[in-house]
Amino acid sequence: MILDGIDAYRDSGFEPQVVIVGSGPAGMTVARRLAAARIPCALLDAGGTQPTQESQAVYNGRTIGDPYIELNAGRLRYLGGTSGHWGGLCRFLEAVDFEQRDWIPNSGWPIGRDAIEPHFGAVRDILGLRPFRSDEPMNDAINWVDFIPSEPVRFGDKYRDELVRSERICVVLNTYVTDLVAEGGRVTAANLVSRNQHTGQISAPRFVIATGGIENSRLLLWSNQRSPEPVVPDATSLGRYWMEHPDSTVGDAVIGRQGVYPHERNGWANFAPTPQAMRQAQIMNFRIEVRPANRSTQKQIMVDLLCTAPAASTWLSGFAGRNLNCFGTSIFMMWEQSPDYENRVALSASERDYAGVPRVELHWRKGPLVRKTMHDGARLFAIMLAQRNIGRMKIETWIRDGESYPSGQVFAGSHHMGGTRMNTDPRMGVVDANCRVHGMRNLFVAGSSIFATSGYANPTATIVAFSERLGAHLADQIDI
Amino acid sequence: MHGDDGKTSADAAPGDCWFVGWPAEAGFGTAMRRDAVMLRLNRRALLSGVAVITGATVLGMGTGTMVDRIVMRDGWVLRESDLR
Repeated sequence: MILDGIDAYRDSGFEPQVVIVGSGPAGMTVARRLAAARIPCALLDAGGTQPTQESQAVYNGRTIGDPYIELNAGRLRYLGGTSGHWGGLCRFLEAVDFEQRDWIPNSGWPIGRDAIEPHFGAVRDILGLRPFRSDEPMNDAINWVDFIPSEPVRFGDKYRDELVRSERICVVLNTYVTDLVAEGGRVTAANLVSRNQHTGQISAPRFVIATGGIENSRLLLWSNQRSPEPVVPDATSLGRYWMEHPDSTVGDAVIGRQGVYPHERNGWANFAPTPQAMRQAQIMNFRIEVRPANRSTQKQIMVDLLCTAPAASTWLSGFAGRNLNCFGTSIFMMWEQSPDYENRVALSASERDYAGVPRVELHWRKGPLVRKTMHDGARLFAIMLAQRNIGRMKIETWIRDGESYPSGQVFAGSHHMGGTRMNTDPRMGVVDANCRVHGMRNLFVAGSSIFATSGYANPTATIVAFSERLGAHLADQIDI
Repeated sequence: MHGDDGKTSADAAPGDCWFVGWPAEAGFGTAMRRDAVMLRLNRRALLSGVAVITGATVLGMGTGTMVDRIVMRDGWVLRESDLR
């Protein structure tokens, strides 16, 4: 059922085993998994069925450090959450992303990729994905990788009818959980604001917070200040090790002809480094996306190449028999950011939203390993193109010459990760391998805030996999 | 920011050819082994003279000077033969 406001919920007499805060891909996936196991849960969302300016204004905040996207722009606060403007690109984190890599500070998870792989089938059903193809080596350094441009699932639209009919999921809209209350190692209640009014509390045996890669930290930080006993007993890393996916165009390339790399789609293709290359170059994970340029840009790229290397015409003439089917491309890169203690979600000391909750101060800098990965990764890809005689790439001058990042540009993909990262050590992470908050018996976290490292893959598919896993874990714990 | 020869692209004058490192035909991890083979072939050529070079050419083995290295010029990552 879908109810509007906490009063309607109280009138319903619904008794949940789990309260889930946030109805985006993470929260809704946990709820649906619990419902499949016949476990009743309340799924709360601070917004309604459509985003509104008033609701979005809660996301306003300040960024300190490198230029960043407006904090109310990269996420949505309504039924279905940020899936409402998700682009649909899908790939799971890779096995190497879970490993401790000694050249990447604070890397490593307490679990391997095999812990979420049993849930990939469920993720494919939810997101409507075909099976991923295996990587295919281009040389020892670069693999072709399968990046699925799926039809983006708007969770609020796709599952609304199912939620309306559900007897196990009670969706409560326009109900803002401002903070949690802890006592004796358990969360006992959540304080609520509904329709601009403080409207008491909601209680349940278990709580899952799934409010997004920034808001999960904000909610727990504020709860720790408000609750008589801490909601996160060891808050050393709470809000910390926050990560983005830096991205940028890193160059142009002339590709010899279409069809030279596997499973190409009209010239589009994605590539990533091999674990051996990452280790040898001491860089992080990344993906390169080859994007066909528009016609006028294509000509400029070809002319630039032939002015620099006239003899390249010999190589290009090899395609004359194929109607000179070579083309100019833009080379786009998105890559991993190492977890850095100083990159963090913090609470503003002076700014609050309408409900009195401190606004976010996001401290974010890219760091030297991000820069090295961009430079060396672009170079590895360019070398592969020339070695295989597939193409010739020109690396952007500012990257090649070690100049500053171009001013006025944001190098980020609106992918919010970390802040409640997974680690076995409560000082190094907020949640354990089962997404349970260290020191709390009934509080769990869903979403990309649990990511210990970011990899390069757009996070939604991995978020849904971890949420399926959390739902299954809770279902195993609860006797009904 | 260093190339495999230790020279940075920033050190190069405009238009300089900046050696990136790998022979074009070699795999990523086999560059050093390939370079060693090249040196051995060149030494033999010097010691044995024109006859050996001619013989090697006839036999299709004189590849020491034909390895097409990867170079960088003006940001373009190229094969050396693109510049000849």
